Amino acid sequence: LEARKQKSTVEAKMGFDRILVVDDDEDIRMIAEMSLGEVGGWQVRVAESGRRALELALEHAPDVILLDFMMPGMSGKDTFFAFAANPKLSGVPVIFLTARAQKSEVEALVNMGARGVIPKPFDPMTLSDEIRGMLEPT
Amino acid sequence: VSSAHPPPDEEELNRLRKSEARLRAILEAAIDAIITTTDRGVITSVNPSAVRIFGYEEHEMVGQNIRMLMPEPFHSRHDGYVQRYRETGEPRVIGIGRIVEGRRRDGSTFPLELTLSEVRLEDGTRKFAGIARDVSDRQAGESALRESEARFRDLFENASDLIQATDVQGRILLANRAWRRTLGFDAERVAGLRVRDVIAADFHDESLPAFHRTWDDFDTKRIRTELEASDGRRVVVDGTVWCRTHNDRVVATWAIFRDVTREVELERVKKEFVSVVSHELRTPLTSIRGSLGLLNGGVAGELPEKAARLIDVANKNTERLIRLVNEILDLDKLEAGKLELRVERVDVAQMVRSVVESISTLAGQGSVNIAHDVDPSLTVAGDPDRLEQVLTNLVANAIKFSPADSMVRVQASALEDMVKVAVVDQGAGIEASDLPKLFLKFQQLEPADRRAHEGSGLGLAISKAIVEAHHGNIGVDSAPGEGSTFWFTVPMDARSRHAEPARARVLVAAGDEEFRSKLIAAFEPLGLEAAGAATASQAFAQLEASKFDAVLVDQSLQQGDGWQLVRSIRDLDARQRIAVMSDFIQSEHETTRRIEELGLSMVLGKPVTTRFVAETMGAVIDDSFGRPRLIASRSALADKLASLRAGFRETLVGRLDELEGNIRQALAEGVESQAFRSALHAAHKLRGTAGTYGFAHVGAYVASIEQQLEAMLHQGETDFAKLWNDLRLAREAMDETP
Repeated sequence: LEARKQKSTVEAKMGFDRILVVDDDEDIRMIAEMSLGEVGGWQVRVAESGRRALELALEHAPDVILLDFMMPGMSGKDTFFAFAANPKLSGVPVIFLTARAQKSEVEALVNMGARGVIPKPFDPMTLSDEIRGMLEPT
Repeated sequence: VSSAHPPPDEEELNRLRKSEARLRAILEAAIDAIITTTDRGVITSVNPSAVRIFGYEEHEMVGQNIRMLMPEPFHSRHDGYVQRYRETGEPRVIGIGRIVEGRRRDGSTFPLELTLSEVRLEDGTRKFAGIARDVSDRQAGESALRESEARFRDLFENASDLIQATDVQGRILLANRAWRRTLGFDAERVAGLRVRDVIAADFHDESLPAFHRTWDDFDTKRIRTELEASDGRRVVVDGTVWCRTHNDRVVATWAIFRDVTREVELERVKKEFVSVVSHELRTPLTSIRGSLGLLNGGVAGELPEKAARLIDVANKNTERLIRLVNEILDLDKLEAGKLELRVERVDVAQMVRSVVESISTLAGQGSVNIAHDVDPSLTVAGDPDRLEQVLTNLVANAIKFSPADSMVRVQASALEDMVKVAVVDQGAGIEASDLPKLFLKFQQLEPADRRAHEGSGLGLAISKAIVEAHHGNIGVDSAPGEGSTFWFTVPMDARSRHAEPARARVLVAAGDEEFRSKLIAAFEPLGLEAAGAATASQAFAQLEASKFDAVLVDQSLQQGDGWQLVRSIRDLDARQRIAVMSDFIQSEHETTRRIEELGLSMVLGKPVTTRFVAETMGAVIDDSFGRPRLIASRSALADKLASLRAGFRETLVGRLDELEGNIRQALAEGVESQAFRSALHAAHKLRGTAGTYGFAHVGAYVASIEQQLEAMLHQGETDFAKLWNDLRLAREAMDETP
């Protein structure tokens, strides 16, 4: 774990260290926060809804947003488009978390402009690596 | 002689006799009863058929009144008819084809068709001739027809399916009870209905044309549509529709509907359930997996040993549960025909290789050997991910049910326009009675040995669904004690039907995975096919399973001695071409001894480029180096190696220069800069390259440089003196390496 943390800190200094996690499930928010914060070395903010995510994002300017796709009320998709519509946020990469991972659905999200899609349930020990992998310029 | 002609009256008489004989013959032979009577109804003659039909002897009838052959009431009334006819001349029964009743001698009656004619004789008296045909059979046929119609009407009326007939204008001609009840119309109201009145309005465009056909294509059509009952209720039906024609014109359209409202509802509930599984089950699973994963990963601190074991159990079973959920969803999509296949050209040999390699990695270097032998020209049209899923499942099953030290073989062959992939194991085999169960859902046979079988019981059902989605077949050939062969077929890719000539094949036995795969890739441009083995037993298994033109044995083999493998190969096949690659060539004398003893084609000393190895192996297969006279060509090899090393040296010097430049720039621009990342990347790459090419000391110094760069990122400071010193030492080490 120590080695992992060190490595993550190195990566964090390479430009991405602030992440906003949006999920309506409290437990998942906590786990993502621990996983990304303690294993991945991110500065984590969490939001329980799309609306709250917009406020937090404007306030904290995250480097990346991890967004649950299925949320009551303002859905992940709605939230995504709200980010895209805001000039201050439109450049922030969005990675979807989803319980549906059919190829076509993943492709649809990526075509929409999402940086990536991570299926639930995710592995908390590698979640950070997965996100960083998606953020690396190809 | 001239008086030979008979007298004319004699001739006339003869003719009459002949004519009468002919007439009699006709009467005798007639199937119908022919009876003549006087104008008072007294029978004057009967023919044999009359005797047969009525059951009286001829003498019993002749002289009797014809009414003896009639049942009541005609029997009593007949005299009256005759009387009236004689008085008024008004015929009642004269003419053709009346159906009347006759009475046989035994009193039984039967229908007969009667043709009656009147003959007036020269003396003015009249005679009647009657021709009577027994039509019992015909009448029986007609009544059977009526009965069968009644039977069909019963079936029609009482069928549980909805049945209707419509005319070409779409008016409903007939509708059975189930139809009327389900849709709530009584028989009178049906008469005024048109088909468009009962098909739900939003299905008109889709469904009405099926009922308004003015031509018949001799096909029954299947439709799914929705009907609307008189109270507005919707009824979902699956229907079969066909046309009835008469004289080449459509006269009616028939339809049978099955009410599937409940099934459709069930289907919807099931879909909803699957969606619940998908979302509602995955959400808690995310939390469980997350919590356990973090605990297991030490995020909450070091766990007491017992707790760690328990968490490990929970963690493993969570993974298993996730797999099960995924498989259920997979199968659901497959069964609903919703699996998305990305069909492309799939190289079967490559697929088999990749599956076998990933399974060997996953399963560790287990005690079961996997061998594969696939014609490299075989390609199929399929979804590569899904086909790999099937093959992985079959191979994993085979391993699971294989005894220790046995062999699993993967084979593929062309079968007309299909490719058959087979996985052969040496397991316990399967009872014939169990075979049909194998591909059903949630079926696991009692395992022969109780090793952990963590399967969901869905693997083969999923495989079957995937293969069938590819228009292929899946099956198993097995018998107890004889192992099992699980196989599937997939359509051949159109282009691969013109098979390329088989390429020469090389087996690469090398422990280091990266080196092995680089070597395998290096054979490709030379037109050679290469397969890899990480261990001696894998290599041996492959050699047993298929033919290779040459074997390359690297001394870096995992688990086992390369020389031992070489000896085993030699025992297996005295003529097999074998080349050995060694980290260092011991003494020339020792190497020569082994080359001669084992009949080697070549001994290669590292470092070498993979391309050089591949070219050398090409030469070995061509026999251009000769066998086993490696000694003769060793000096040439040594020269070649020396020049190659010089090449590496130049490359490395260039890389070191590049690294130094990167570091200088990075120091000027700070750790956030692109240059810093490039420097880190360059150091990482150089460390790998130096190691691969045998410049181990250089590699060690570069590794130290890499560490210092990371420390800089990490802690924001580094020992610059050490960094420059390491760079200098790396250059010196290179100069010192021979």
